Amino acid sequence: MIRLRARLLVSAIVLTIFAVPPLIAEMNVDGMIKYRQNVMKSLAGHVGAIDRLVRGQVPLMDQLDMHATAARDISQTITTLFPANSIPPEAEFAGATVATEALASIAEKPEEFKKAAQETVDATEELVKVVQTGNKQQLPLAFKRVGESCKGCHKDFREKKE
Amino acid sequence: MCSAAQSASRGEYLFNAAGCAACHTDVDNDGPPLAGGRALKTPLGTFYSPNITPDPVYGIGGWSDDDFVRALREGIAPDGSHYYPSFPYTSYTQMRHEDALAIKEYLFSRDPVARPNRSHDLPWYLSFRQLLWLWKQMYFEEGELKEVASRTTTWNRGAYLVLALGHCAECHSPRNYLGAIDSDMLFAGTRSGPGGGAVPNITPDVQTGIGGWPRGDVAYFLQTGAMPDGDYAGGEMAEVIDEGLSRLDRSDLEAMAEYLRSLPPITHRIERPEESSVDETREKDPWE
Repeated sequence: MIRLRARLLVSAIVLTIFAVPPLIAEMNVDGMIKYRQNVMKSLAGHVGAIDRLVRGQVPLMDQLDMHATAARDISQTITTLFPANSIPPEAEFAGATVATEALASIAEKPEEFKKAAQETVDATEELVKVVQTGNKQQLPLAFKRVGESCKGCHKDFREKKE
Repeated sequence: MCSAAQSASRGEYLFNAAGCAACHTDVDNDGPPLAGGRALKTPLGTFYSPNITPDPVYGIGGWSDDDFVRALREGIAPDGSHYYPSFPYTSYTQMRHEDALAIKEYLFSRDPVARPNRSHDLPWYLSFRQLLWLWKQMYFEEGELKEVASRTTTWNRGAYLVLALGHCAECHSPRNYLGAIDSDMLFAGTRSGPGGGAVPNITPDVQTGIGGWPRGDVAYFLQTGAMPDGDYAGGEMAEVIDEGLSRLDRSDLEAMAEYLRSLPPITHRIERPEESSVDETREKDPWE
């Protein structure tokens, strides 16, 4: 019985050392870059949808809260999407084979990047509040702040493409 | 006859349309407005924008009206030397004389900044400005933009804003080995734009340009930086919008959009190869 327990214990330790860490700690650089791009595209999708609603082009205002909430939730993850080895020049050394538009300035100016990302978080939180209180007059201004925050971050931290 | 204040106000509007602030302010190093020093990295070398504040020593405070107009429309400095085409006189030459003077009036109403200009960082063989005379003979056509009688007033206004003031073609077109715009690929984008990045195709080609953008979205983009897919402009274009285009009247932005949508569509995909599934490049940039 003692021998069986010892074997189980040893097996558990071996599994912990050799199997679990790779599952939770290893990052595939290409996967990270693509994940980030997909998340940012989904954020843009929600922001683009809100834009059409705010401009009065689509009569589906009951969906505004859903998009605003999603934009807020996604924006809260932005700073987690740019680990150092997934942005230039580290990404290349880490073996990245897919292109990234993230700029080295993210790593070079971490505090500024954090501040720019936080502005998007704050702007989307404000937007959710405005939507949920039904304050239609404040809506264009609140959404404008979201757009400005996206542009502000792209200006300094994303390779230009527009 | 309008007063100096009115002219300066009109000049401010034109100054915004001409995008002067974006290039003449060293934003990266928190430089003072219009005091120059901004690096413009190109395949030919790095150019540094000059101080255009009215400082009499380091800026343009000592310039006459004729000096200013000559610089914009002929690409010639007050001392008679030629400007490199990194200064877009190749587009500004199409500007109306009175508009150039209104911009000067506005610039002279700004605070002077005593900041020396920085020399360009170019290979030795490009440091002979006299050779620019030859370049101009080959590639520079001086002259004000003429209205096209068969087109609407809005279209002509848009053409003036896009071609002369906004000088959009300067960044949105590929250039040859001598830094001249490829006139067959006007507005078709480039992968080697100022700063080294890609600049998109803004012809109305459906697959590779802005031909697929809904009507109204082009003017909206120029005003806000918002693209139809919810993405937002970044880089230099975000600055051009923030510091200039967003301050223009909606009617002017719509005129610009009307003109851009009337251009001949050119198929020229700008995304990097790994981002593009098909090769629709009609002509490659020589710098790629």
